[in-house]
Amino acid sequence: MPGVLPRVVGLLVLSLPLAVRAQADAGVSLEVESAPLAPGFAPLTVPLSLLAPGSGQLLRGDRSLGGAMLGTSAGLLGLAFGGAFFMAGTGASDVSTAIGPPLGIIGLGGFITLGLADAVGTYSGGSEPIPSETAWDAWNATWRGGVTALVAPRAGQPGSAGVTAFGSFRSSRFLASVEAGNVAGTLDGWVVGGGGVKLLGYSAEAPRAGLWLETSLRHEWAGRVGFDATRWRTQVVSVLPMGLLVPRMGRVTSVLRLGLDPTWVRYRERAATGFELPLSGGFEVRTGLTDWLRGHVGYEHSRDGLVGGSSIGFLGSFHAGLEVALPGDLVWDVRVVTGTPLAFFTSIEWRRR
Amino acid sequence: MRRAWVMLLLSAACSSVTDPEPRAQLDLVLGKATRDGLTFRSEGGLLHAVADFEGAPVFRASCPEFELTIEAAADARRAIRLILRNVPPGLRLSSSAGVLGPTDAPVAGVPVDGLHLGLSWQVTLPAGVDSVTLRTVETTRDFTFIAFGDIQRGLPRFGDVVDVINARPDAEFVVVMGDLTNVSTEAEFDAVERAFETVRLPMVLTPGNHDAYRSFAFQQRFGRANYTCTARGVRFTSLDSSNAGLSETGWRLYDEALEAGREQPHVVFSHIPATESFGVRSGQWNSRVEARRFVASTAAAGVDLLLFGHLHTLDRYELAGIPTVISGGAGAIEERLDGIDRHVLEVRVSSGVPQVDVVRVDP
Repeated sequence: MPGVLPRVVGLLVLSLPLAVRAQADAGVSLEVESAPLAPGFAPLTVPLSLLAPGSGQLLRGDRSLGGAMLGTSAGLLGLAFGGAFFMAGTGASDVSTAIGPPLGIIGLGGFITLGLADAVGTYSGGSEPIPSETAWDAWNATWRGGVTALVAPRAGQPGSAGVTAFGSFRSSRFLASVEAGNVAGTLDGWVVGGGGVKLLGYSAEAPRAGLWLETSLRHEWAGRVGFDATRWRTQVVSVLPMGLLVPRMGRVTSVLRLGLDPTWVRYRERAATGFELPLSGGFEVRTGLTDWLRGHVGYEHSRDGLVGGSSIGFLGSFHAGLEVALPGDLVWDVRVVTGTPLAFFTSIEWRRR
Repeated sequence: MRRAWVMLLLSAACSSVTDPEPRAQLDLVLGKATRDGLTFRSEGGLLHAVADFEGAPVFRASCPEFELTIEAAADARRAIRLILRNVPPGLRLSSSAGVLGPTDAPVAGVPVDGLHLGLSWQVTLPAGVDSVTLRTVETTRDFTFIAFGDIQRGLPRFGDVVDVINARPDAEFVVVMGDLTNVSTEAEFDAVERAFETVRLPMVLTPGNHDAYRSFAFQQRFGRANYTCTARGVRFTSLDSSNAGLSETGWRLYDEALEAGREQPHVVFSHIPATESFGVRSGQWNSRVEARRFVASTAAAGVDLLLFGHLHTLDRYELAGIPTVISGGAGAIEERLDGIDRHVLEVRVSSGVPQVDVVRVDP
């Protein structure tokens, strides 16, 4: 099973970006110049776009693009429901759940991405060069470093608080990252070191965009509750600026991740080692709202951080947040994570292209 | 298709399971009742006051062995009829001389007509005595119990499971790992109670996530969700994991149970597995960090067996060296491709060591 799963996940992740690259290489753009959106439709388009991605473009008068987006979003929604039904039809068998969540992540992530891209692209006046919109995008930065503080009030339990320091370097082909932190009362501390390589570039105009293979090792200490754990995460990561498809949607970037987190847990009292093999991954959609404000929403499938899943079994946690550009290459990020518990994160980060 | 829709809806509904802390807080006050100037207080909250029967107070026993203290106010009646439900036939209680009989010899309960697994005793508070304690006669010995989980929508076919249980001659009680109902309605709980009246053995229960959509429904009928007791020299601990984790009070109660059972063989049963054997499905506690804390503390206390439900399959593995079984095969939507349909577990405890066998309901 573990041998088959990475191949299945890889194929699923690869399928969408390969189609994107094929279009980009062929110089194909779905962009069709059209008239600005009629003001009377404006309040209606955002919820419509989120519910039926592509409807905003149709209202704008772009039938070709709107139809393509509607069709694609229907397919993505079908993928998500297909994954869910596959699980349900087999009584949530362990075999089916190895396939259902990846399909759900890809389908739902793609659907939400298209919805936001449609909403943003409907208001966008025309082509916007990708670099200007992604200049301080977390993914597009070469150097990053910062600290994150988190608080997690939990009904029925003492709240948690913690701090994390992180840094990373990303070239057009390689990346490296480190992270360390602790959560008072839960984990004594953890360290993470990782790296990655770009397997496939989507466009020369956006060197960071592409399909990446990332791997990391995380060790966490929880001596006060009697264990420590080592997690080896390996994920395929797709970074897709939507401007590669439609320039006026260049404010939106899609990040999709899928992989496995084999984890070894040492329980001190019995000197026994446990092994866990959870699926990991998720999606994040990032969009520029103004020159100094960005928003992001996403989903994280793994449950081994401070924030656990948002439901019983099968689901992880959702998050949403804002980034504010500050002087001196600094960025202030705030996000809320709707898991167990509900948690609030705030970061001060330095980014350099 | 209908099953698929049900699963999708249930998956969505799972997020609405109520906060476990109020349930754990309620546990702290369950097991105590006042009636006609008499205060009934059971050790560990193992006796839960339910509806009166023929004018006498009735208590449901969460475990086959327990202890009850009765305190009398100055103007209280000194002689009462005590009725206990969900107790094994022939159960004997002991107390000091003059309370159940002229001596302190254990006294067997009298079967109560119309009350399944109901026994009654005449209890007298001797003159000048304001507090008496009654307790079951504890003996450490080999024994067998049955365990299963997850009835949910399988109640119409539950008779097959009952037939299997009633056919096990050595079994002394049944441990149920939660999800008795599908959506915690009164009608479902009524039906479950009627179904349990066809089982010839006492039921030792823990709630599942499907029993917690209405927060206190389980406890109103069956008593505490978190509790610990000793039976035949083995400690049994029920842990309310119905929202895939423990509340602060739940953790405290569990730590106390682990401490109490440190020198005993110990079986811990709960609904949602702390950690699955495979893990990709994540049909387990919300937080892996909290789950590992549970496994670590459980291992440190020398627990001998972990029993879980929630997954509608059979899975045997070890957590930190502790034999662990997931069994959710009492009728809920069955997992496919796992090679087993409905089933129960037969656990034989010999010299304090539990040995788990599987008994298939469907061939």
